[in-house]
Amino acid sequence: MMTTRRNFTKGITLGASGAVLMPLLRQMEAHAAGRSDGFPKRFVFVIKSSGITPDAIRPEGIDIGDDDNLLDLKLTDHRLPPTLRSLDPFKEEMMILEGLSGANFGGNHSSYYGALSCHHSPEKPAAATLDCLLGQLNPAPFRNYGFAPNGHSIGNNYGPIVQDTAVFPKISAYGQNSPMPYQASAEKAYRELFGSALDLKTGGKKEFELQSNLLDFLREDTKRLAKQISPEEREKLDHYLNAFESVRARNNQLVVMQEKIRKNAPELTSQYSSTVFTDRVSTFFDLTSAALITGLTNVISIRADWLSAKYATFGFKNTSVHDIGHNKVTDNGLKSAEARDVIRKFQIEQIAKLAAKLKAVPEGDGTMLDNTMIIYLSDTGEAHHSRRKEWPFIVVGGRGHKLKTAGRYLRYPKYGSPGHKTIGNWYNTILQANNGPAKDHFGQLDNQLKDLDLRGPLAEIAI
Amino acid sequence: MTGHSTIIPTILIAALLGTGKADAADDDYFKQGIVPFLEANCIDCHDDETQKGKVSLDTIGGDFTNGDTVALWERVLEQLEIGTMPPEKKPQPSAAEREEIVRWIKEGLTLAGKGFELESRMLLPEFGNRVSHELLFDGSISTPPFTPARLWRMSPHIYGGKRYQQIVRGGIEAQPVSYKSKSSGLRDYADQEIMDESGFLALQLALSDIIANQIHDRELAPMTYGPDKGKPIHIAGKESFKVISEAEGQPPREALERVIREEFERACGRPITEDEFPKYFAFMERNLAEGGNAAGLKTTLLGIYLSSEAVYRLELGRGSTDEHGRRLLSPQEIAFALSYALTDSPPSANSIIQKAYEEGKLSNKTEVEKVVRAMIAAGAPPIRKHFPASAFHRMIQEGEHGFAYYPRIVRFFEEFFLYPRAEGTFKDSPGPGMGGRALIGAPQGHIAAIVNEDTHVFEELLTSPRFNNSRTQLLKMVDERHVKKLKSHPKEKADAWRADMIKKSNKLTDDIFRAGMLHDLSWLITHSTNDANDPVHRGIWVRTHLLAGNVPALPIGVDAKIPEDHDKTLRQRFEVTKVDECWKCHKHFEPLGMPFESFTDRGWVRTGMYYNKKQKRFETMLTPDKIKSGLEKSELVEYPFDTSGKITGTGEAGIDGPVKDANDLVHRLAKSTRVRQSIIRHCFRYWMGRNEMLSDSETLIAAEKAYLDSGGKFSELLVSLLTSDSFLYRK
Repeated sequence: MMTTRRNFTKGITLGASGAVLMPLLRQMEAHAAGRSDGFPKRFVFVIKSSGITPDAIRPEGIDIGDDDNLLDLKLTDHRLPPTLRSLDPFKEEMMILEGLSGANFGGNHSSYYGALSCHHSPEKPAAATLDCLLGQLNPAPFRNYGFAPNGHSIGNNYGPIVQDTAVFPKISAYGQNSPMPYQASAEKAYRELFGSALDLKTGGKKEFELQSNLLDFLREDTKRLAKQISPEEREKLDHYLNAFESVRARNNQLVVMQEKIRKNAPELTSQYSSTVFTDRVSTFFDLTSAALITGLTNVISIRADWLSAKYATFGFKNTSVHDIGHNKVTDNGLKSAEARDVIRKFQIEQIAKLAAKLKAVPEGDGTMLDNTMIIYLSDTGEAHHSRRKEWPFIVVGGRGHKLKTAGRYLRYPKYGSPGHKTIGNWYNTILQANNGPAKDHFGQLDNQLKDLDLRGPLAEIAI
Repeated sequence: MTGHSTIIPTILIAALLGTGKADAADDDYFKQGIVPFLEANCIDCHDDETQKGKVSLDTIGGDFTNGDTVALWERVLEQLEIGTMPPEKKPQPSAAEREEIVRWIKEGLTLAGKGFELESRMLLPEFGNRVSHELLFDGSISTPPFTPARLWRMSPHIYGGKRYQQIVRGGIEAQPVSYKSKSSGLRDYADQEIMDESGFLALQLALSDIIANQIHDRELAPMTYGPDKGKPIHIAGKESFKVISEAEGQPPREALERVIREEFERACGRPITEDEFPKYFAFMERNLAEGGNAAGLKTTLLGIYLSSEAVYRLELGRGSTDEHGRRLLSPQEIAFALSYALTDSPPSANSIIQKAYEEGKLSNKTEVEKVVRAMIAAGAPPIRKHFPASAFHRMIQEGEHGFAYYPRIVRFFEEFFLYPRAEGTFKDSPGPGMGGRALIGAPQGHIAAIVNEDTHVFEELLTSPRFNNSRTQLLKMVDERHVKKLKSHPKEKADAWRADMIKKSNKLTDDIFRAGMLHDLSWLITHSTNDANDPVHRGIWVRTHLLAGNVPALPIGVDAKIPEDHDKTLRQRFEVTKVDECWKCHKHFEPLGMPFESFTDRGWVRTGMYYNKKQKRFETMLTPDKIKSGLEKSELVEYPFDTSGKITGTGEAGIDGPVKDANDLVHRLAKSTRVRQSIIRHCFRYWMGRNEMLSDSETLIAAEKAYLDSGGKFSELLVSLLTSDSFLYRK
């Protein structure tokens, strides 16, 4: 992007309402220098269940008072709360965002697709979700990729939860009625992402090379059938034919990337077949950094846990995330809030490790982290049983994105107060910064907030 | 005023035959055909002065190029289609008049570029009731029925029948495909499911896993518990695959041939033809040569399993064409259609169908009827699903062998009543475990028993006392079973079993209030929230499923939330819906849902409403002795509870009107003609895989007649539907 001097100063004026200048300036300098040009914009969404307690992620010494005013503070002026300390090295390139709401996206313990689509859609997707839209705007061989420790198995949208195959955790969707599957098996994810260039026992390069035979064969077969049917029904087959062509296009890209894939593929260790919950989650983060560094995808969604998950590693062998949400004391005697701290700390550490790995990779004048925004959020707002009048976010990295997120603590006025904003505003801001379609608002509006002006991106964050 | 009543029938018939001449762009037609309708039915309330609901139709023109006009006509269409306007108390236009203006508005909206939207939403199951109920059943339509020629994506269950699914941890079968459609309602619609990129990738991924698991033997990590603890689990690969994947050098030609023939038949449900075979063989040879035996075999299998005929059912109408331009399904298409109407397996797995097909006896209606009757007579073995089930439920599930256990019949009632969703309805309030999965076993067994008894099936489903969770009923069953067991088991064993069952029965209450499926725990829990009864969704279910009614879509911007005050009764919390702007919609369903206040949100029969002062909530599962002691200790406060409601919209004397409680409600509904017809419409949709069109009128009337003439036999209804023109003809 070419940032003119005028734009540049305009940005400063807008952002100067709080004393947040230093890191922000650096972020804007990056734009001005065109550093982010030519590099893909990447996103990692880390979606946790059972809510994120705003008080628990708020930096120390911040008083939200009567919560009627916008708070825009410098993170470096405050100590991060204990569970976030692993992010200390990234204080100048992260944002803690509070005070947004998403009250109208209900659901049982989760807003499901609503959390990222801003539509009330606890059951089936009503619209495309933010991650899938960003995948479309920032193309790569894999438009989106998702990891989930478990979910409803494919073919069983409603029923038992499984963990060794592709699953639907009901979080992401390409569009209405088009849910995005996540991979629950680390080993299978490895094969999907890196198999095209590696000799693996299952799948692997040999099979990848046979794919063009397969696609040719299926195309001929489908065309044969298409000749026999009416134009209306042919449309259905056209969708199928298109699928072959886009897989072929992806495969062509993967062929070009073979060397890079081989170089960056992580080592396939026993951790990939581990059944220990925390091992599995950290493997997902390993795969995430490797896939991003290789350039296989630009948008990854990680379902960090789910209500039935049991963090046995931390001694919660018989206490699930759901039990903890319901104030059950864990097997090893931790109270709910303490156990929630342990879980959050683990998840934030994974994010910190990922950020560090990306920061170690130079990109232009900066690092890969500058072009990668890691967004930690809950699938249901502020609590286990939430009212979603608060929906906190932690944003790490992405200094090179056209958003003023560096080094900030930003809290919007409470639900219903003048100046209050929604997660729809926030997502709209992200989308517009990624050349998404200009829209007044992303998703469904909250009727309870009809007196507020909720149009356009968040002025405090947009550049 | 007089013009329209004479014009309409002619135009209507023309429209039904697809030769409608009335053009929305035609101003004369607007003046002569539409204005009189508006004057007679709308303007009283919606002129410039009265503007009820802030809608004025005084100056609405027929100009569909004007955005405001289009938006207004869209609102009019919605009201006409769902039947909320004119209001009940006002004189109503005839069904034909209503249909004609609906057709005219749709034509106009199509000119305005909204045709695709209108057409595609009418394909959704939830829009099925928008087709005029009156016209479907009044016999005024004589257009010969047909179904559009179609490709129909194989359902996840058909994949189950192909035995593709992989068994994942915990013994769960993961089918390689899923429905995309809404999970609350009839799901397997030919128009709704397509194979696109995401479907292709998901299926390819799942099949790759499944094949990888089958081409070699494999060892799984040992169990960590049980008698085989620590021993590795050996799972054998498929022999026919291993001959190829594990061959040193080139595998024998017969092995390749065998796999192609067997797997093609498995995937497509028919033998490969000699024309097709060489293409597949060449594909296999090329893959083996280029990728080696294992990878080559896998790719070949993917080609077979992903071919278009393996992912789509073909119903093109390859038989003869009749004088109406309709094409009969070919015998092979009929074989598939019948097989998938009752089971999830291809015809080759159904001996009756296969035999008829091989003998060339599937080429006309009489022959089809013979096969359907034979299938019904043969029945299907009982199935047990959703383990674990309680002893009681298990016994109900292990009912007599009969046609009700055909998987597609079981599933119709699952999708109609939605009872399996009870297992996913999360109840937060403490109390004895609900046994979520066990919950579903009993209704499945009761429904199957009613269908197998095959007399007054709908009435029984709605009112049968067998849905009472009764200890007495269980003990009666135990005694009957005990007598049987004595014949096949040693006496001590049979007696021990009886003693055990009696012990287990102690946990059961002895209800007598319940009548029919809507009083079953599973239906009640499915239609409830985490911690409360849900009169809205219960009422909507009754309105749409039993009364063929429509519920207006929740207007954009309306925040339909009932306050969650835990110290108020449900009725008190629902006071908010009584304001005009809410009640105009809520009146269509809330009075149908409120009678279920006869039950607590856990589905227990309510004997009183008790508020726990200490816990600050209403109790849902108190045994009589706990109620007694709670009241004595003043820990509980007793509130009155109100189970009254109202049935509207059947237009039938003795049905419409106030109801006193849930029992009164279901007994009244069971007597209604409209309820019977509504269930038949849902059966039609399920077995045709689409919404009804007006041209299906003949099929629906015949189906109802078959049901009535036989004294309420579900089997006769099925025979009628599966031999109908709607089922057998394509156009």
